[in-house]
Amino acid sequence: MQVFLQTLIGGLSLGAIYALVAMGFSLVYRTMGLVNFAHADVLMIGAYAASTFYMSTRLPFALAMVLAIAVTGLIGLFIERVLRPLENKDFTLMLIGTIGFGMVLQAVAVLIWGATGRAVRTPVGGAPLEFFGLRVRTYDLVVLAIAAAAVFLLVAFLQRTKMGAAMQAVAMDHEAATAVGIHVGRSNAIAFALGAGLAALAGGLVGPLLYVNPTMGGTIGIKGFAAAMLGGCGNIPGAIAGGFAIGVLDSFAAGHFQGYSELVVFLVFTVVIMIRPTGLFGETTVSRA
Amino acid sequence: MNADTTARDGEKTAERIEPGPAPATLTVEDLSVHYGGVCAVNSIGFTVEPGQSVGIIGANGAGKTSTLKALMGLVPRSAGRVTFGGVDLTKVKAREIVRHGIGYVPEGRHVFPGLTVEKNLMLGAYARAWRGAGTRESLAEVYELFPVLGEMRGRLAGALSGGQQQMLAVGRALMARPRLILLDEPSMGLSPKLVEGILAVLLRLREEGLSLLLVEQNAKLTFEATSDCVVMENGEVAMVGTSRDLRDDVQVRRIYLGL
Repeated sequence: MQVFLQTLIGGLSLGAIYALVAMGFSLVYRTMGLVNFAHADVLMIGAYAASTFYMSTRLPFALAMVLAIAVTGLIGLFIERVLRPLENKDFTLMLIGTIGFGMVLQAVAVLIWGATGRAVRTPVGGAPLEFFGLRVRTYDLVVLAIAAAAVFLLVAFLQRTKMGAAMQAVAMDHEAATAVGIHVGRSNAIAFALGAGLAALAGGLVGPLLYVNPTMGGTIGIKGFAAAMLGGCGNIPGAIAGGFAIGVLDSFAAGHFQGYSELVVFLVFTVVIMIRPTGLFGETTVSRA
Repeated sequence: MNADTTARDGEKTAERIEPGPAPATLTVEDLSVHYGGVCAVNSIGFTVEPGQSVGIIGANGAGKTSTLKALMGLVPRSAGRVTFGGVDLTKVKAREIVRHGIGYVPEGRHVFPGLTVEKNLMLGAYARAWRGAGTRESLAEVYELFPVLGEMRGRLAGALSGGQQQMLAVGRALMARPRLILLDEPSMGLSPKLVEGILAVLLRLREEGLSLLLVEQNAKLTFEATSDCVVMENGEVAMVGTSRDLRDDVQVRRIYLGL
């Protein structure tokens, strides 16, 4: 029972990170109908930036994260601006463009930080907390709390602000949105920047849990993407649920199947998607896909 | 709705380009629209005077919707001049058109299905001060015009019936306090009883001094709602006249009214 609960908590904290990645995918997908394949590599840049600000510049962890989010947010804005002329013209090229940006980001990371990667020390105390005999890493709780705060802020932004409402309107009908005076390009840019910021947050948080290296985006990105698909791509609550599902699955699979854990995770994912192709929460169709 | 615009112009609406107090005329000259090599609208022209209501009728594919979209800048214009109140609209970006006082009710309603009725309406006032006193006032006016929208303000727009969505689309356009409103097939897919309701709304907007440009396949509705009409055929203007004359025209009666 104890092992079960501890695995569960580890899975949830990993799941929170996948949920952040999935939310980034979903936010861009629902606004533009585009899967941003550079997302995973933006995450990697975010992880490197956060670890550099934290360890080399010796800034507090929270400040390092904020700076990393700002840096990747700018990268997101840049990617959207470069790809914007292709919108409504050649969607496939736009998709390939995001793959290209991903490769460029990896190359840039190797140039700046080298190909070997680095370990990031945990920003909060070493000794695990004990609840009723249950040992929980403090950092897992920090990850969960930060992810929860990010979800809350994102939902509040989408639901309560003028810009958030406009972004949702663009996602649903960009022509009608234009007719009421919404700047569709700007709305897309904000979606890209927010998505990139979420990637950096995920990257910064995952740094102390894993090893930061130029290809780390691949593993986390593909699981985040799977989480977004599992929840129903474009659906924010779905992305969160999908993230936790993949995280917990990952955590238990690692405990029981060791070397085959990834295989098990994706096998389960494939079966679920075969049964429900639109994902667990996916009844909403994005008309622009 | 237009008559009291001037009185409210004093409010602090930083983002809004206030429509000038002077009533504006829409002038369209030699407007053409091409999709690839195909000509959808071929050098058409007409005017909508302040407070005037003009209808465009014609069969499917006559170029009516393309004309409206071209006015809104939603499809590229291959040629022509479009001015509204002296402003050259061909130099105005699509998203800025609403700020010059032109509201648009698209064909097929195109409400934002996943947002509530109230948020749809608020987005109609996107170009104005968000949550400003003026916006709340407009919201109250729309709810007065369409009480059913007030009752359903918390409902998702996608869950409304076709007739209610049409009201929402009209209400959303009104939220921008336009001087001219472009309506694309507001009767499409509605029962005769609901079409009567749409007619009543159009007549009321006319009474309030709003200029209307109504695109319809329903010629009967158009003749009742407008003072003047343009008949389009194959992207060209086939006939122009007062709605009354056209309604009595033998040819028009045969083609469009089936009489």
